[in-house]
Amino acid sequence: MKKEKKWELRLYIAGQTPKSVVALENITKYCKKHLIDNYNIEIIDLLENPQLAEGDQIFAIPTLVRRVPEPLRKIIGDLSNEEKVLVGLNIRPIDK
Amino acid sequence: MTEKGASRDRLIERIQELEIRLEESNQLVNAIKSGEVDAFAINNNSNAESEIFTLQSGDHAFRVLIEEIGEGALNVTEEGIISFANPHLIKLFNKSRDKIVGNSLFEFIHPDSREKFRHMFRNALKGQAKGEVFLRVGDEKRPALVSMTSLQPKLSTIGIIMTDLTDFKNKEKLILQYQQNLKLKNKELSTTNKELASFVYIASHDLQEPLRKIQTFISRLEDKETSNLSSRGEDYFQRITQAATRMQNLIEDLLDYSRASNENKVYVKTDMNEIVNEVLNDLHVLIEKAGAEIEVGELCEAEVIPFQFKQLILNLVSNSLKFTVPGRKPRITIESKIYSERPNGLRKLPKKDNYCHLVISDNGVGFSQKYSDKLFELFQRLHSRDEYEGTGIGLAIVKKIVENHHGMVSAEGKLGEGATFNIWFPTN
Repeated sequence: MKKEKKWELRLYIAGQTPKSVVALENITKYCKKHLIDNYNIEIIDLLENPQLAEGDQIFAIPTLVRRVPEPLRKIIGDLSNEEKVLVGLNIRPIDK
Repeated sequence: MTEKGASRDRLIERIQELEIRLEESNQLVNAIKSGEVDAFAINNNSNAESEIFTLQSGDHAFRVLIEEIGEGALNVTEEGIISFANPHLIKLFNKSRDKIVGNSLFEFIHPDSREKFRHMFRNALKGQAKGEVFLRVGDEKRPALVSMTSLQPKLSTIGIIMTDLTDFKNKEKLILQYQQNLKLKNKELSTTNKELASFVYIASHDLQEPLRKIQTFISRLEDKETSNLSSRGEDYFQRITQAATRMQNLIEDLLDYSRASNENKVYVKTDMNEIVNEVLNDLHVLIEKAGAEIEVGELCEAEVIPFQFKQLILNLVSNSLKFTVPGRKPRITIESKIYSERPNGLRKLPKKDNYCHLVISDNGVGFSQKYSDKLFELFQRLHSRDEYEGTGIGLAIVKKIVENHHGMVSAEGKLGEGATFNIWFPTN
C-alpha cells in the first residue's frame, strides 16, 4: 500500500486580528477531524514577517495555502464554511 | 497536427488559464465582500517589502486580554507615576481613574509595606521583582501579590501585574482555624479515652476486693454449714459460687482490657517463638487436659510490647483450647511469614518496611463467617453459657493489642471445622 504523503498547509495571518484567530481555529479543527495525524500546519504571521507575503503571492489575509499534495491551492478568508474549505482543498470528508 | 489544430489547442489552454485566474479573483472579491478578510499585504513597488494593513489592530487580542482580565495591570514610569491602568486595577484601588493615572503608585501602598515595596521597585528597575505587599485601599489594608518587570528598552516603564490576595488569605485563616479546632478536639478525645481507661481499671480493681470477700465467706459458709443445708440450699450455694466466679473472670478480663489501653508503649525486639513458648508453658495444664496437639513454626522477630503480645497469644490459644469439638482431638498451628513491604489490601496500615503475618488456626467448633467482624466486639459472645464459658472480652483485648502495634487482625471461620486468626503488624 502506497504511504500517503503528509499534507503540508500554510496559514498566513496578521497577528491576532479576529479573522486570523478564527481561521486558525477552523483549520486546526478541520485537519484534526478529516486528516487526523496526516498533516502539518505552518503558521506565517505577516505582521512579524511581511516579506513572506511575496512567496505565495498573498494579498488578502487570512489565506490558507495547500503546498502538499500538489498542485498548489489557495483559500482566502476565515475558513468558516467547512464544506467550501474541504472542496477547495480537495479533502475527502470523514463523516463521523 | 495542423496549424489550425495547434492554435485551437493554445486557445483552449489560454481559456483554461483565464478561467482559473478568474476563479481566483472571484474568490478574493467574495471573501472581501463577506467580511472574511481583515488584513491586506500591500506592495506598491515590487522591490520593496509588503506593508501589512489591518482593519482591526493586530494587537486586538492582547488589548482585550489586558482590558478584561481579572488582575490589576498597570504601567508606571521610573519615578513610580502610573501611566496606564486597566479596569481591574481601577476596581482594586477603588478610586476614579483620574485619581489613579498620573499619580504615584506609592500612594496606594500601605505604609507597613512601603520599605519593602521601595526595595522591590529598585530591583524591578534593573529587571524583575515579585512579592507580597499590602495595598492601601481607602482605610483598609489589603494583601496583594505584585509582579513587576522593567519594559526597557521597548518602553521606559515598569509593567506591573497585581493579584488581590484578600480572599485567599481569608480562606487560609479559616483553614488554620479548622486545623486548630481539630487539634483541640483530638486532645479532648485523647484525654477522655485515658479517663475512660482509668475508670475501667479503677472500677475493676476496686470491685475485686468485695468480690473476694463474697467468695471467701461463701466458701466458709459451705465448709461450716453443709451439714445444716438442705439439698436446695446446697444448690443455691453452688449457684452463688459460680456467679461469683463468673464475676471474677469478668473483672479480671476488664482489667486486662484497660491495661491494654493504658500501658506505656515500650517496644522491645522480641523473638515470637519465645513468647509462644511462655504461653504454652502457662497453659500446659489446659493443653494436657484437652489432649491438644500444638504445632509451632519458625516465627518472626519483631519489635513488640512483650507483656501485651503475650496476652494476645494467650487469649487466642486459650480460645482454641476452649472452643473444641467434643470427641475431636484439638490441633492448633501457629506460624508466621515476613513480607518486605506492606501487603496489598491492607491500605489502612502504615507504610513500613517489613510486615509480619502471624497465623493461629485450630480445628475446633469454628464460627459462621458472617460473624467475623462481631467476634472482636466488646462483650460479644457467639455461644450461650451452657455451650461454652466466656466473658466476651478476650478477642476485644486481642484487637486492642493489635491496634497498639499498628497492625490488623481478621478471623476466618468454618462452622464445625475450625477458626483461623490472621494478624499483620510491622516488625518495627
